[in-house]
Amino acid sequence: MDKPNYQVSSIDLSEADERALKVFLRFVGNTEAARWEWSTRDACDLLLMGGGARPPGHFENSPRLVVARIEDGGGAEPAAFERVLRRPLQMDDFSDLLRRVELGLKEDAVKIEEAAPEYSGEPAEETAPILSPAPAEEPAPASAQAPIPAPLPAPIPAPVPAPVAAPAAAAAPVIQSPPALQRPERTGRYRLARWPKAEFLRGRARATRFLSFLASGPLTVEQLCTLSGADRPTCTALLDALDSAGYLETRPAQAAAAAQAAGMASVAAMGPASTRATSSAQDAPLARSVNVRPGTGSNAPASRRPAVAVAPPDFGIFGRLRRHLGLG
Amino acid sequence: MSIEPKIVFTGPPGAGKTTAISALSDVAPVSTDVANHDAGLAKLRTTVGLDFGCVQLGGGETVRLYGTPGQSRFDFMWKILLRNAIGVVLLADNSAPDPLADVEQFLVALSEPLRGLPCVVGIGRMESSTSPSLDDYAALLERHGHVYPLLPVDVRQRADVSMLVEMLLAQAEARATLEGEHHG
Repeated sequence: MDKPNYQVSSIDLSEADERALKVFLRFVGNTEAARWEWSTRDACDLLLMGGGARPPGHFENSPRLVVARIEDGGGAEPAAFERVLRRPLQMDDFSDLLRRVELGLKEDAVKIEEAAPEYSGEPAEETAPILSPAPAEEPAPASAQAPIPAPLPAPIPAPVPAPVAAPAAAAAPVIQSPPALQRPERTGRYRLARWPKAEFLRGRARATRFLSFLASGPLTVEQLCTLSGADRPTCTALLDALDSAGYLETRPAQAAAAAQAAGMASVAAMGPASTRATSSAQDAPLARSVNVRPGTGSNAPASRRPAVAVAPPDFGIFGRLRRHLGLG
Repeated sequence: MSIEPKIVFTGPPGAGKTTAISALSDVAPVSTDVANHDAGLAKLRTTVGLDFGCVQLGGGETVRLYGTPGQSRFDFMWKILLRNAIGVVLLADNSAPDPLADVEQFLVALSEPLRGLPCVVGIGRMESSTSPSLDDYAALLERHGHVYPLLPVDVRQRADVSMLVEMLLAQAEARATLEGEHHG
């Protein structure tokens, strides 16, 4: 079976960084799933940026550009699914990044194929909401709030001239079809239905901690953000990837609200693994000191939910044991 | 019921429970190993009571590490040790004659206490014995209604054992969050 070819390129990187990444690419760029090459043109699928807020204009030639940042080390460990490589550059991290980007590109390609018949060249009956503004109450998409860290699988769309009604074939390149690429809002509760296969986890070693959270009970995105310290786009990207692979059990928003109101009794109804989430009130002393930032919990208004990574809460002895073992 | 600061390592004989505790413990672990006279076990010594180690967090705070004896005739001790633990690490040796059956034996024997506990499954010697695969273990867990983290592990490596504990703590923290929501 033919595997796709993807292109990677860089800007604003030192010669040493670029050389290291090219060496890494020789070792980890060719897998059973895809073949990566270093692009010498002004178009690529993955752009590694050493600085700057947005890709330069000439990369608009790349219809499905995914951007990753290269940053100096010393800060917080990048969360799983975050598109950041830290110096000193590590081959495992680079491999991890390629595999994650591959997944997003592959999913989008499938969805584009599925959506293709809709673009038959006939004028669209309704205006495609390519750039339709978000409702006033809703927070702006993460890609608009922060320059780069959009949800992983979604490529940064190339700019379009204007949001006007036009024949779909002329005005809306297939890659920009929002209905085809749109992700669920993720307002429910999510739990791991089964432990993912090794194929899914390959290159995602750091995701196991996220998966452990999700194995314990049905969590909201906000709870997952709080537990992991990762931002919402990172967590939703993980949920999207799990959902696509059939590993996610989802409860709709209304049921989630009811579950919250009814407490753990409703949580237990999720199934055997959820039942394990019940423990007595006397368990609390070991887990007191749950320092959730005010206004960032699952009851917080959408506009106050964490769009960026926050420090994970301190769970008392769990946190002290974690630090003692050097687990961050 | 209250949670005690203890983590239990369990699994069949030869899975590496004693070694895992030694890798993590801040003090020389107390072991009740004796000479092995069981011809079915390819090891010189085996644990008949329990292993004990501890992680000292400072300020007199300690997390105790217990290793259960592997033989099923000691299964009454498994449940006693698991009671009120932070979580349980289930270890298996992939080079054993039937490692899936070994794990299943523990899933069945501990089905009741496992319902209320974080658990992680660590599979040893996967480099030399590639079958069964991790996916086979995941399918086994699923058949028993469990979704547990599942990792290949070298119990001689502190980092590997720490990673198992990390998976336990993540589950415990998620449970605490849900519990806090329940009581909040």
